[in-house]
Amino acid sequence: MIRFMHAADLHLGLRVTRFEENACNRIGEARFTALQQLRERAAEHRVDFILIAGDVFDDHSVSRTDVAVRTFAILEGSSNSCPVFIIPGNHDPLVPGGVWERDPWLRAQPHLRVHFLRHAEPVAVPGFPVTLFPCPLRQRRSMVDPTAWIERHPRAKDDRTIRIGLAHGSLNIMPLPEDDHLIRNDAADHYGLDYLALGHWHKRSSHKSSDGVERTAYSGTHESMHFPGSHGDISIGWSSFSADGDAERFRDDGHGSALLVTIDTAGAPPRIEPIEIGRLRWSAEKRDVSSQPLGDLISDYARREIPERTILRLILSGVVEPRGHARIDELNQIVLNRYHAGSSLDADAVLIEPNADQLSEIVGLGVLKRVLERLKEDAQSTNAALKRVAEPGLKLLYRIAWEEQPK
Amino acid sequence: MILEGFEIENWQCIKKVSVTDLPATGVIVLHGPNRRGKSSIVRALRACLMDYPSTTTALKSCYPRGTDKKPVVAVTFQAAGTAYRITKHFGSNKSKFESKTPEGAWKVETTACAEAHDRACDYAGGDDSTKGLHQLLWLTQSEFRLPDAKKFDANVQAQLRAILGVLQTPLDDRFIERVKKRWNVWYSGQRKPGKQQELKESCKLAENLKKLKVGQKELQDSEARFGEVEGLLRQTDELELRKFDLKRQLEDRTSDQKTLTEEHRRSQVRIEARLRAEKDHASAEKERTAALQEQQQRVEAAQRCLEDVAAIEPARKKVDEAGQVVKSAQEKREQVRTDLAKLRDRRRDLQDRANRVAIKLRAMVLAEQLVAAQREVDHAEAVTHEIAQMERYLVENPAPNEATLEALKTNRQRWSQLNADQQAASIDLTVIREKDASASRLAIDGGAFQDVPVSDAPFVHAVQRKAELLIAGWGGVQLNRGGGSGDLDQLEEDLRKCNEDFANAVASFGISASDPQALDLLIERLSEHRIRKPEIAKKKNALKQRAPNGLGALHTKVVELQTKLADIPATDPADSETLPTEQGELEKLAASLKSQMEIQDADIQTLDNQIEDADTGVATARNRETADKELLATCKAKANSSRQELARLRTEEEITQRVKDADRAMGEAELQLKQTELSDDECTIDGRLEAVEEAVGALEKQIEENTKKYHEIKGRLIASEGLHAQRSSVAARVDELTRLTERESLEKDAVDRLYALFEECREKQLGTLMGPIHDRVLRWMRVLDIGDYKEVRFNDAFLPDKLMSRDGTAEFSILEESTGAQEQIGMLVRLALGSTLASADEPAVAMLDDPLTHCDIGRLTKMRVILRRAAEGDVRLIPPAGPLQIVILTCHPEWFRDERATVIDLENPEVMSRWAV
Repeated sequence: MIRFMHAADLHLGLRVTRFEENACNRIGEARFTALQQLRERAAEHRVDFILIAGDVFDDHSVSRTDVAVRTFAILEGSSNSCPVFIIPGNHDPLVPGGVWERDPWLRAQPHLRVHFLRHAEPVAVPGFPVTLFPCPLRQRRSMVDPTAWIERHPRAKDDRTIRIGLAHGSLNIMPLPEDDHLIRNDAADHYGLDYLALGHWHKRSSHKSSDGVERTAYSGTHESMHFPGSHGDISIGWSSFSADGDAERFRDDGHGSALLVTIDTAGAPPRIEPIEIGRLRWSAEKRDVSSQPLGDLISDYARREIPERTILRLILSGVVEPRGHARIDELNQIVLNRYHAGSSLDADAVLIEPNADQLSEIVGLGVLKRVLERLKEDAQSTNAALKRVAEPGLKLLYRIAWEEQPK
Repeated sequence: MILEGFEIENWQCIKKVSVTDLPATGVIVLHGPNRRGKSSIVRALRACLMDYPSTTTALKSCYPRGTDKKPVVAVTFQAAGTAYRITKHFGSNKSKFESKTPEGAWKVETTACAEAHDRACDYAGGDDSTKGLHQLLWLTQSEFRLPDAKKFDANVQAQLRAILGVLQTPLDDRFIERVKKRWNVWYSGQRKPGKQQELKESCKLAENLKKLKVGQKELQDSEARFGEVEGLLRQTDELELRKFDLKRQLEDRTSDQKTLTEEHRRSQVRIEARLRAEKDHASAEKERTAALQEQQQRVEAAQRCLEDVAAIEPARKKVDEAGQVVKSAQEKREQVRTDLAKLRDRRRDLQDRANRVAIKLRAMVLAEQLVAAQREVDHAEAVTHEIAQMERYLVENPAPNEATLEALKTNRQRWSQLNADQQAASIDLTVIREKDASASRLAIDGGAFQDVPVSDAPFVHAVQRKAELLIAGWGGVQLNRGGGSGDLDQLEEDLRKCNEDFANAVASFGISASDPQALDLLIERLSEHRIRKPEIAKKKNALKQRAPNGLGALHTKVVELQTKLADIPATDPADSETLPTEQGELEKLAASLKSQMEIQDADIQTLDNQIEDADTGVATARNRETADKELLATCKAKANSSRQELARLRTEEEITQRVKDADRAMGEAELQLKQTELSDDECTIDGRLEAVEEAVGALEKQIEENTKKYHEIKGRLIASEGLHAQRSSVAARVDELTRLTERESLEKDAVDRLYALFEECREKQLGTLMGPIHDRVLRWMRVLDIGDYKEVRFNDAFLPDKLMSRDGTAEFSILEESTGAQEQIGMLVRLALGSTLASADEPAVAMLDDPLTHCDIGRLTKMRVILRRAAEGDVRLIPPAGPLQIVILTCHPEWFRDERATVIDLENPEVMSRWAV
């Protein structure tokens, strides 16, 4: 029996832009923490080795000292750490002058525990009846199936080793760009693999072979980099190199994970267990303040678990009274102060609408009353420029008028 | 409330003032000089109607001095259609409040001091004359500015609000202040409607926009570098493939090169033999060509020699012919020259005759001119002599000028007068000597004794001082004038002086004062001078015209003419030709000679031309002759040269032998060439070997370049380390700045819109609420020519705040206007607001103490009209403007006198009497 961890798409040195700089740095830092976590969880589960199916680095231009060296150090681990087998993915393909050709990765492999697999040839895992079939990528995009070479190495009749494929690409199970390193959908079956560890897709998934056993799996990214459920509405400034860019397969579910895989013997069905190792949770939420009192919302978000490790994008909509609108600030403070850097509250879509009694109380009978009427007209106007500023203008009016009410 | 009248007693300097029957509305002018108590009247009315009960002690300063009397003020007024009278005896509790019954009788309502005061206050509108409507309409001296908005009576504001509506609430104020404050985060100055405001450079948004621009540029650069790196990554693949391909090609080419080198080595002996044959063949061919060329050269040289010798004889013939032509031309030219010499001799003779005629003519003219000049000299000398004589006379007989003569005449008149006076002052001494009387002698005034003649008629002697009569045998009689003879002394002194003056004056003209005709003589001389002086001037003028440069010039002219005449040469006595003596004959002869000479000149010119043509002909013939000679020389030289060239060449036999030898050698070389012919492979081996060597070299070079490029890319990729983080950082910054600037821009635009809307709405509100008042004030301002403003902006206290320029772009504070204009605007606003609060049933009183002191006469005239209109009210306005009772206290009644104004003279003792100060 062997046990290993399958991870992929670490994207260390991640390029995130849609946050303020501090948040970007902290989000980047969290990926290292998660990698450390991967090492720790591997030790906890006493795995025999770790497989990383590509995209260790977000790009070749990552900083050597800040990213490449540090990554190596974490993966190298301590003397009792298990070995790690790595292949290059489409973000960090094996190209001359690339990250893999720089120190410390340039050194003869394996160094101690890190095995960077440069060649498409079978590799025996020392001390275990396991043969790895690494499929390193040499291009960002390619129409060649990276696993195709395995066909030249069918299982011999008397071969009882556990055959594990390690590849980075898209399993050809749906319409995809043809240069997205497409991997035949029956690869595990076809090549006689006990397990095909895949990387590239950020969402965790596993796929059944013809015998109904799940032998092919994507581990998903080890640390989230996407607001689940936002359907791409909220960009973080990262984009894949695939022709379809920010497609659904590159959207994780808000928290990072790896797979703990156990295979008893060659041919035995692998047991695949997702292990959460991600540091941060990403959450994009929408709340309608018309249907839920702001007080409830405030207490809800104030009581959430691990807010300090949650990147929250809270979008409020609906209609509130001016008094209620003033409480949005309270909620905003909670989001900004308690949640992880990069969290935000967007209340632009909240309309302030006092009732008829409040209206005269708030704006009085003087000029403001007329101003309010005009702004409302602007909001209905076909003039885009007027319409654009009408809503913030109204909010500002209510807000100032409210604040200027005699206490 | 309006005033019907008042009576004030014992108030400061006022002993008593009584004004009754004031009109209910309109302008009432109470006038009097300074320090007559006008302000005291206002203070008394304020005290009585509003400010103090009669018991007050605060008014002690208003008590009259020098008396123990106390002030009593009674004011009759009308309120709500009823007349009332309040009477207060200040310094006591004696007060009375009365109302007028329909029958016209006064009914006492109360005599209680406090109650009377309260009742009066109720009707007057308050217990403080500086508050309420009075704050607007009751003005003391030098008070012309409008009250501060914060101090403006809230009650009046409330009344106005009740009538006009709400203009701007305190909330509005606070709101717009907040908006302005926020607006000023991005902009400076004031918002100008319709104008795109410039963003403040120092604001955060501007800074962020700048940073964004820089960031975008950085990002663009970063993205470009990243794109470059991506391109490099793609290139590495291509380079790898190419490297393999090139290596394979190089291997192939290297193998080819080896094969060809071996082949080349094998065919080298044959190739060398062939090369030698080719070389020999080329040499034989070259020799044969040279021999043939020499043969041809000799044939051509012989031909040229024959031709050159044949050309000599015709050239020589041409030279002879040209010599003949030259000789003929020279003979012809000599003939023309002889004819010309003869003609010139004849011409010279004619010229000599003409010269003689001309000399004679000139002598005749000069003689005439000399006679005329001599005449001029004579005449001028005669005139000069006459002038000299006349001037001498004037010098010898000087005459006084008119003034002197007049003085002399006066002197003589005075002398006559003094003489007469002396005569009158003398004593007539009548002496009668009878025939038989003894001789007597008489001496008068110190003179010598003279005998007194015997006469029937008495002698009368004028005695001035003393007379002595000596009568022989009898004695003497002495007559002496008394001591009071001062007048006579004076007369004598005057006479002496008069004579002395006269004598001094006439002496300078060479006339004796004793000459009784002296004065007449001087008169005569002056008369003579008057006649002669113009005559001299006239003659001098004539002389000046005849001889402007003096007599000397005339004499010089005569001498010149004489010299010229003398210079004319005398006729040669040997000359056989006798010339006419008459000038006319001479002139005819001169003309005839001139005509002949002209004809001869033309002939000479013709001959000159002919000589010139002949010279040209000779020169042309000579040139031709020279050219022909040169041609002949050339032909001879050429023939010599041809002969020498032919002599230099080999003989014909030698050349024929050389050609034969060359043909033989050529045949042998062709045979050798045929024997050493190469196969196609042998022919192309060098080219093929060279091509493959080149290909190998090129491939090696390509491989080298490929490797170089590969390493270059590798280096550049390694150099791109850190770019990802940098790009992320810049992109994050740009994203953040984009978000920030977008958000802030939206907020800025929203604030700007709020500001704009507020201003717009306020305008509209103003138009709706303050419209009637605003329009009235602005109309009046335009009547007064105060600035060129589009509008007056009122604040929420209904008081003017700002003035807007005509184009609406500039805002001014009222304090920026002149003091006079501030006073006038204040007055207009008071009148407009006061009218709004007044009604036809309840007009209001405007009490103006010494108003408009900063107003010029022009504006005062207009202000009179405005005051009258304000007093009349205007029911057409919405809300209607009520009438006003405008009471003006002034020391300038002429400023406010109007045919409709009620004018009350406080100097009128029936109206007002004062305590003696």
